[in-house]
Amino acid sequence: MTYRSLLNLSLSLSMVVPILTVLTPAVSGEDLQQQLKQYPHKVVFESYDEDNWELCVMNADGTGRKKLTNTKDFHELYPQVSPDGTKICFLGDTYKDGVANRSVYLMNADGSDRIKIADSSRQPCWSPDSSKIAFVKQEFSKFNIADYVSKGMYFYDVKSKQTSAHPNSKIHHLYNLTWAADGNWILSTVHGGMGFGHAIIAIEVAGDKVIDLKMSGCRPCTSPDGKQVTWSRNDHTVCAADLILTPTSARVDNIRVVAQSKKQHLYHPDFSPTGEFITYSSGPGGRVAANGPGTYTQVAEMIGVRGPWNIYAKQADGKGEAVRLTQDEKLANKESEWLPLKSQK
Amino acid sequence: MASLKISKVVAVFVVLNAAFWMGCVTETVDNSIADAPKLDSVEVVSKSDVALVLIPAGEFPMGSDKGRPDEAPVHTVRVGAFAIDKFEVTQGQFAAVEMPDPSQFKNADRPVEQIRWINAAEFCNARSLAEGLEPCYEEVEFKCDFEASGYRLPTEAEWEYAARAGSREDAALAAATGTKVGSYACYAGNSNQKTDPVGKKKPNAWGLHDMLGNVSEWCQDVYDPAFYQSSPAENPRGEGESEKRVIRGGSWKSSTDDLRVTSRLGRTAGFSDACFTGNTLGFRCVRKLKEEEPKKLDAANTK
Repeated sequence: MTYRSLLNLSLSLSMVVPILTVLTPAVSGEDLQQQLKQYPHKVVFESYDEDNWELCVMNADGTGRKKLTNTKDFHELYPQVSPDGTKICFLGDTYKDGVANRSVYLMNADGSDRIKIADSSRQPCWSPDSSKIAFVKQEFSKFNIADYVSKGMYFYDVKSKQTSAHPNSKIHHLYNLTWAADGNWILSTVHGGMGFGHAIIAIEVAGDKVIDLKMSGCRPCTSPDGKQVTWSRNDHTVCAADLILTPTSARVDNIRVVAQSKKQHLYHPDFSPTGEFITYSSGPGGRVAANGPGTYTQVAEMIGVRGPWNIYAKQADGKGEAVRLTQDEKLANKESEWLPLKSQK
Repeated sequence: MASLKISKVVAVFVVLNAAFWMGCVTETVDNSIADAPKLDSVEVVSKSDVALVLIPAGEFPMGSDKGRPDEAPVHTVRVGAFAIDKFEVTQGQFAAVEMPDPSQFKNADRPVEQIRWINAAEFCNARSLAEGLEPCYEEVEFKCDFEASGYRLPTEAEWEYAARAGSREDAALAAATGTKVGSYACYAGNSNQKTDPVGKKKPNAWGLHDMLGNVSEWCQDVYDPAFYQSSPAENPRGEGESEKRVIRGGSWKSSTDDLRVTSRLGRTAGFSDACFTGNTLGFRCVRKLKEEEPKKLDAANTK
């Protein structure tokens, strides 16, 4: 090997973030099922049933499924559970004279006392102390299903019920926000906005700083302890990485594959409350035709698209087999979100 | 007529620069092919204030025997008359119909990029509706109704016919290398790593800007590398089963080798997540002629 080829190899290795494939002994699906059976926390998700999107909750092993909402002609989607496990914010799709409206709502974790907190808005996420909800506003007055069609970021204070704007007026085309545990940064996908083609970025909560995390893919989700992030690296791969945040800097390291499928698409990963498991949604790729009230023609990973998808769980380190938690593709089970049980914390 | 003179200057330049092209994709004049139509272009402005050029029906030599394998064989194709955007679709046009603009290089006058084929087709429909025309695409499988009055993406044959603008050379403008190509195309050699606002470069002989360079342009056709082996001679339409659609023309990121009117590429249409599109991909629209427009073309032809 020549000096030049060694140099090229060295440069390549230093430029390409290593993806660690798991070589340790596999954990069987039965073993994981048993672990999940003992795991005290629950999983909230969206599901399409009886011509309606509803939010459902189930045990960590997929048993005990029940509806959290049951509202005809109102579609609940994209649940986001507060870190203290007491409340859920979500998206509500309504239709008037055939015109769609998507807004952000808030309710107790048992489904009671819902209120609308932001009209024509999307992509909410919780502050780590459960006191605020960040969200983005729809870019145009006319609804558009594309996930990045947003402009500006806003904060809703749960106690005062007041909304304030993020200080960065250039925020544009964000989707899938996740508020890191240190409270200083919000991670998000950006598509065709803020000078980016497509990127996962860290946005300073109280300032203008924006950092490209240089991790290709979309839909990041931080772990409850703030030390990890999981996301879809591409249509077929869920990754996780160490998340290194300081008040002035943000980067990721030690990227590894959590789940991969050649045939299926994998999206919407979410860390369990203790960080040892990751749930994600999976199903066939490709465009799905609108197939019922409140559904759209688009790819199934998008909110409001009813594709034959299900929710899976896997160890967060990527070891072993995945376990399927939902069993009926017709229900389009997606967007899982762990519900930490207060009594179990 | 001035535009046709430009075409001739370019053709001369092709020959003078033949030596340069040795070792690249060498292109020469094919004298066996019938003359291209010699018409002044007719420009119209749409209801949404977008300039289009009426292109007369005609025959042209499609493809190249000296390019990549998917460009061969050269075969004579006849296309019907149609109207085509004078410029690539801009971000301002997207804003006008409240379509989300996925572009990285933001500016109302720059072309839309990072656009997926299906979103380009959706724009065609939105623009059609805004102008009271019948949309060409149903929006599930995106089958195209070529008889509809609205906008659609150009077929590959329409695109190449429009890009050639009467030129018989395989390489047309792209063969004008060095300083010349920079006058006509925003490409890797002059782009500053991003798109130009549309129309900054000189137009081709039919008055169309940026047919080569700036953004590669989606075509209607499904990409089939062997399509030219069996392509019909009359209004060919690539309608295979592949998820890939044809892109043409090269972009701000292309070398001169990709700025050839015959160069073909296939890219996944975008029946997938928004994450993975390129900032080199844009498009322009075509539509069939309106009732009064053939007369305008005839009048221009008999001048």
